Amino acid sequence: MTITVDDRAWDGMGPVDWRAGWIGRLSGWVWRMLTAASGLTAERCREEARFIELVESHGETINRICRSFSYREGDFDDLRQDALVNIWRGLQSFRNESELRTWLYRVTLNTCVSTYRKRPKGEFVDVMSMGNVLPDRGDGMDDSEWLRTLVGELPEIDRAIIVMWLEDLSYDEIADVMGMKRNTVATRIRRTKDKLRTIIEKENI
Amino acid sequence: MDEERMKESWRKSGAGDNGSLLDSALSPEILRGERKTALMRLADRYRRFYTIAFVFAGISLVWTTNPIFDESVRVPMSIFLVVYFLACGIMDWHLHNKVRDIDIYRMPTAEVIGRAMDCRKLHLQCVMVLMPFAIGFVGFMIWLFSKELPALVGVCLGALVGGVIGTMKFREFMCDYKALRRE
Repeated sequence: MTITVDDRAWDGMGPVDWRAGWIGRLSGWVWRMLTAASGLTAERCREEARFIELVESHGETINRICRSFSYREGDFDDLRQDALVNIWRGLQSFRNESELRTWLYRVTLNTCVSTYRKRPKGEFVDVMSMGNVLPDRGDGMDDSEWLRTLVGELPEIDRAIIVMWLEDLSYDEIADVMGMKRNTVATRIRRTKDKLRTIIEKENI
Repeated sequence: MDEERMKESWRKSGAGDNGSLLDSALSPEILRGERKTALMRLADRYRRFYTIAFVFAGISLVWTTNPIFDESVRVPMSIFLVVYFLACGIMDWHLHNKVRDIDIYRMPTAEVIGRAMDCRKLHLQCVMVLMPFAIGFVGFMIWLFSKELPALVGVCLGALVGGVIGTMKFREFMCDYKALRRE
């Protein structure tokens, strides 16, 4: 018994009439588009879930970093929003080139230091170089607010380093985020820590 | 205060604010990419400024045929304005590129701090360079219209308003520059 095969290209649906073939191709295309769209939607849902999970687990860290780089409540809200925008945009293309936690610190800190915010009018107090002049500790300010005020008066590089140290990052992680040598980071942390400790102890006497 | 107590105090300072952060994170403004960060807005602002400056540089060529001005001053004034606006445009274009080159995802924080500070310094230095030219031009216009009272009044009023706003901005600028030098 001889089996003959149609000369036309086999399109996966068998040798069919040209109209049915055209409808078949169109429906195949629609099916592929819908599959791709639902894939994109599923991918998008996964990204959003990942983003929300990141914000939930590191929200306080983001808050603390943004607070330490803002001088007014309005600045704080703006910085937080900007940090979230950058985290969301970056997360979609983050491919585990580094640890997620280190990446988050880098993005949040870089967001804070890359925008210029005016200090409120008044004396600029550089914590590292001041002698007996201290920033004004308001009445009823507790230790954590006072520490945050002092950290907010540090020069930006020292502020970024000490914030990461207070957040319990290792010296190597801090050096990686800052792009500095480990020894330089260690020296700056020691200097800043000693200065902060001296000021706090003076205040508490 | 020992290290542990310092860290403990620090951790307490960020507590209790997570709710509003989550609300912000879920906002369509962020998830749909509708919100621009301050850095993006700054880059856009410089782009707007250099576009306007280059357009005005082109428009300034029209002044060579403007009958309001004496023939002897038309060409030098046009050349001055073209050069002035081109200088403004080139400075803003350069600043736009510098701001756009800041990559917050890949650059180390120390580098971002350095670049941001360079941009701020350059911005303030550009203002310092261009301001005398702007003031000189106003002085030239006053001299040019010294014999025509209505035009002179208009120029002087404009100079007065500009002077008041300019003085306020100049004082802000000097505060910013001093703060920058300290950092």
